[in-house]
Amino acid sequence: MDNNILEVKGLKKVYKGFTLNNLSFSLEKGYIMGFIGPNGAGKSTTIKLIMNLINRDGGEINVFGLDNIKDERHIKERIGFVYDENHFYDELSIMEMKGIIAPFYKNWNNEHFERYLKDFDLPLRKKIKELSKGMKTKFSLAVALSHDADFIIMDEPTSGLDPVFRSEILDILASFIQDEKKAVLFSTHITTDLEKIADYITFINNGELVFSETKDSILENYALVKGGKELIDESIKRELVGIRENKYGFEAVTSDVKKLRSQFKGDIVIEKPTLEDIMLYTVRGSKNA
Amino acid sequence: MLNLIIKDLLVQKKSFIFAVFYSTFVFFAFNTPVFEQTIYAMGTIAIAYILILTATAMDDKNRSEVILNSLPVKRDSIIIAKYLSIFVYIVAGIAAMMVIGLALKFLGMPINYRLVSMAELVAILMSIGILCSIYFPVYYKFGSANVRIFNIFLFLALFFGPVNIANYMKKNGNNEFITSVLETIRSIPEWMIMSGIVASVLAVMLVSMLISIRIYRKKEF
Repeated sequence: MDNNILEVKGLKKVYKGFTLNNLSFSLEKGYIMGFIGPNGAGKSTTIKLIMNLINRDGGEINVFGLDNIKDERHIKERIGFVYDENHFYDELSIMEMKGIIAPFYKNWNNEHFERYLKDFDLPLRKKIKELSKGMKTKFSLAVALSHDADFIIMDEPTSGLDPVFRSEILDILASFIQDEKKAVLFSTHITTDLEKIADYITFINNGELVFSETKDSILENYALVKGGKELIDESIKRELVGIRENKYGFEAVTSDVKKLRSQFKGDIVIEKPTLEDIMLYTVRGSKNA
Repeated sequence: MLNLIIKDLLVQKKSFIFAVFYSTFVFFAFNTPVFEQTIYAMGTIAIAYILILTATAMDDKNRSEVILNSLPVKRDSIIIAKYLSIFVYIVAGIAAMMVIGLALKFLGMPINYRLVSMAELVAILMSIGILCSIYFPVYYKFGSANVRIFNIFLFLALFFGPVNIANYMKKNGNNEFITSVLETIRSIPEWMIMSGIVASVLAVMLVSMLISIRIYRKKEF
């Protein structure tokens, strides 16, 4: 068996006014993948397709080397999920909700669960609807981590949460993948979180893959470029994405900083980009195209 | 499968308080000779149906089916469990009526306490079975919030429909067709009619379940 925990090949889903088209990427054991893109890019659609909550129109999804539809039950025993909205029965308390979910998993580990509840300071008897957004996410995470899952899928888990708690989640995820048999797919538009912990970044825009690479190679190859307006010509433009021009100069991102360096003899500033820069300029570039 | 049925009971603990109040209400409101033969059926049908509707409403409220479908459970099982739970709710309804009836009797209320009759059991199964056979496929197609009004009409139709048909038959007692139908029915032994009804209702439920499974397999969350 190969090392991939997740393999998405040629995935397609057609909606009115939006198509997720020919999406392919894979995630190996032992790594955390950040899944980024602007709102409406298709992140949640992809996650729903992986979880088989919606029907795909084409392509293939393999989890643990197994087809995600044919072996759905088996796969879901080993997946922990955290979604951005609360879908728990909100009239129930945390303990009651746990009582409903636990029997579905063969490997439910109550000790782990109770340890997480304690670590997360969750009030056992409080109704779910009385919990804050952060607490609901913590509860969701506690459930996801308490049945010996090998793959954690999170759809925007950190949106709307305070920095302290976000950093707590990141620590938990980092320790989760320590044994190198597990993996995490983590969709977000808060890219600074990913700069801390992600090994891979998969970036989609308008339903299409922009890149899926290691974070290090992305940050190595991409660069933020600034310079005087007079420096821009057609050949340079081809190397740049999302050019922003004003009276004095331009700013853009390039995906091949070495090539740009060799071409550009003029006086330009090349800076290390953040993931946010890359996302912003790429999205802008695709809108202008 | 059992987990799913238990889940439906756990999410609506408050409904059981309703069942207690409602059965008490039924014993007082319908404690007249007219309803003597049907009081247990009337109570059970209403309680069972409300519990069934509440269970689906709870699933719908926070789109909790997203969670269910993310757990290691097959979509088909979710539907099969829903249909099996019909019998659980019928038992719960009967239990509520019997226990509350007994309690009221002990408290010295002037009620006519007896066991649920065979005819009532058949009537309960028929009403709830048919209501659910119509309701579930519609719910799975459109969601509970969208079918609330449909539901009220459905319940009223099944609650008052049979009475109106009976009245119609009484008024048109001389009609040849109706007399011949009634004659034929009278000539068949009661057990046979009852088994026939039970078998037909179970068949309708099975067909409805297969339709719901088809709808649910294609459903997107």
